[in-house]
Amino acid sequence: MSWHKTLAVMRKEFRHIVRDKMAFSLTLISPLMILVPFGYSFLVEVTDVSTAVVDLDRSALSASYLQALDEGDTLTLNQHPADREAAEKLIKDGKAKIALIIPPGFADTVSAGAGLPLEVLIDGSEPHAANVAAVHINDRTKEFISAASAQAGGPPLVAPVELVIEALFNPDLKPINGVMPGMIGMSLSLVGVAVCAALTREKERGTFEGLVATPIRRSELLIGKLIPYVCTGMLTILLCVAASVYGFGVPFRGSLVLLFVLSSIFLFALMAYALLLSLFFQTQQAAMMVTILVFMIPPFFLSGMFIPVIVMPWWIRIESMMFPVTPFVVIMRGLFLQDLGLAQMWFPTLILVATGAGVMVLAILLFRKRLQTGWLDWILDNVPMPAAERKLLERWLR
Amino acid sequence: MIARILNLVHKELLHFARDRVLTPLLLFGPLSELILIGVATSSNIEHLPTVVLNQDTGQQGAALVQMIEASPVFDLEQVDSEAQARDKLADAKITAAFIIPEDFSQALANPLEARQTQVKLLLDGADTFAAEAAHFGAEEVVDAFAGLVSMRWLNEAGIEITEFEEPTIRVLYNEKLKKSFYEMPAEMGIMLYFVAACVASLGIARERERGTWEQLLVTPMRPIEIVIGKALPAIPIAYTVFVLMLIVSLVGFGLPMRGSWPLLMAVVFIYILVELSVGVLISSLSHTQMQALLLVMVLMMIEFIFSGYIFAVDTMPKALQFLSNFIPMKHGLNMERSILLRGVGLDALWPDILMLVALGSGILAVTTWVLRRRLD
Repeated sequence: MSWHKTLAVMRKEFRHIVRDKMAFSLTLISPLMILVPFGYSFLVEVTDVSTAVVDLDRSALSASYLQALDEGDTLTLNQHPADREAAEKLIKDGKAKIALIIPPGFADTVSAGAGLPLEVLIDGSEPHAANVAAVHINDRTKEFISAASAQAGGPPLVAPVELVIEALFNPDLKPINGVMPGMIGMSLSLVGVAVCAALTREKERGTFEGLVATPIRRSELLIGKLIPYVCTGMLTILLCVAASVYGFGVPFRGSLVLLFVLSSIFLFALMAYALLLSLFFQTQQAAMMVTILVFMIPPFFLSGMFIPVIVMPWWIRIESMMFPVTPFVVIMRGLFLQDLGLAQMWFPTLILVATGAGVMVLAILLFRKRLQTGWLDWILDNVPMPAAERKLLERWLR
Repeated sequence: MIARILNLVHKELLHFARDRVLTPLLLFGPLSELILIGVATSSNIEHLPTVVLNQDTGQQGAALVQMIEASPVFDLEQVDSEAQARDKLADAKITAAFIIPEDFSQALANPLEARQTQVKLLLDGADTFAAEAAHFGAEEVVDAFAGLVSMRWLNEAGIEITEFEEPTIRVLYNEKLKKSFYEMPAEMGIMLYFVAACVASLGIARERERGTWEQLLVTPMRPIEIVIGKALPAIPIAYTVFVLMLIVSLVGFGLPMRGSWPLLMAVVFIYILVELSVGVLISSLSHTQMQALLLVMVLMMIEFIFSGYIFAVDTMPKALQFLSNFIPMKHGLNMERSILLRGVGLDALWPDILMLVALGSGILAVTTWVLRRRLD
């Protein structure tokens, strides 16, 4: 292997990236364009959940209870249907997310200290807002009961056991602190898409023939093509980290050196996947669609960013580990929030290294520096099979 | 004009029929995606690895540990010291740690000396969603435990209250609050956008990039006809994808279908048409496939955020709420969820349909204008 030739390919690919404004922005800017609106939408607090109220008690106490709920921005008690059916209809038509039904005899039960009869209906088809509203109602109700009991002359009812929360690494349990580090890995996947497209571009445009005619070897060609993207990817990661820390106030507690090393391993693994996938396509269109389907969408749900990996069935857990994003989410959270070192993160690192290297070797083996490079051709050339089947496969291919 | 367009449609369909890689991927890629997401979201966040440090030697501490153990949210292990629990949290081995204080039983023993005692819950704040689930689970367990203690106190004091009337919470349309029920219709919406926009936009960009676009231009077809002809094949593809996804989610994941079938099929058709016109607009703006892809991706993120898939649109600031009306996916998702889960009829959905139709015609008008300007 000659570094001279590799460098030549690198220089060519660098020029491609820098001169093609679109490719440049796709690799460098677009991850930020995904990261920033996404982060912003996590800062938006749930407010003004439209709520339907059916007050069948019509007492002073129920009115003051409703007033207690109305405090703050969380709920807007803007619908007043006549009965439960009307309330359910409002939820069905999407005009209210949550409905409160105060039964007759509410005031009597509360004053007697026998609890708080109340029915809460939640729209289960869009529960994001309704969940926040339910937590709000729960908190306010507890306060209200103890205040009501104190007013009635009894001792303020206090629960005998109280739960005290201490969240390490993220004292206010801000979701953005948990999501942003993982999101960086997600948005970097776009670079993987760009690489896959760049590799198929040569085939589609016919410039691959030119490459075939040069004396360059396949490993030199592949490594020379990938390194420029790893470099721009590093730049993008740094931009994303800066945006998270300075733009969204996510703390970065780990070591920058480790960030640098582990990110390059992640990018390398990502590129290896992009390379392997690119071997299967002849057109950029197919390459882009498949890499988006593989890199961009499943990691949203499988990477542990929103749904902890631990609750998934074992076969999905294994599958999720195959996406480079999953171990990277663990690593980034460890670096940002937990200040973990390699000693604690050896497992995700090992997975990244192993999958990256394994896929890279597979890709180099499958890669033919030849025209009509396709994996089916490779099967045709290397897998022994009866003549009739071979003929059938050939006819299907051409 | 129609005959000319149909000729082009025929050519495009031949392209798809001959492409042995792209077509199966277009049809089955979104489907496998949906299955993965359906499986990943059908279980609640449960069995979180948790430790408990019971410093109490009395009965109450043991009783609370038993209640935590009975909760499906936690998979419990004992530890001997708080330092050990914190170490495990710091190494991200566990999500949560309960710490029961030494005087726990003592504090709860006698109602006459009743004082409030505290159970501490340490959480791994790095994984906020797991931490939230652990928080809610713990609150539920501790509330139930506290209820039992107060009941015992009242009974010992001679007050006979057998039960408190607690607020009842009923979840409509998704009784078990399954994530998959509201994420699968949304996922269908995003997949339809993806298929329609990709087919429409990348197809034309490819002709441009390869130089065959000029050849198409010298045919008697007008540019808008070419664009329509290139986009139309996306309709049967996207519609087939939708039907496949619908079958899988109804049969495989038990997604309910509570509304009217013809309405669902009709609104999805309209939604596909609108997303298709978005793809056409992208294609008229871009020169290369890379460019088209970039626009498709960025628009996908914007549609995703404002569609109500993960974030509730109703609770965003008023200006963003207003903007979200111009996002086709918002209407598409709303209609799919409404019809499938809530069985809503045309009487409540007509504003969405009207808005979609308006958006579609608006986008098409802009596209024709862009095409005319670029070609003259």
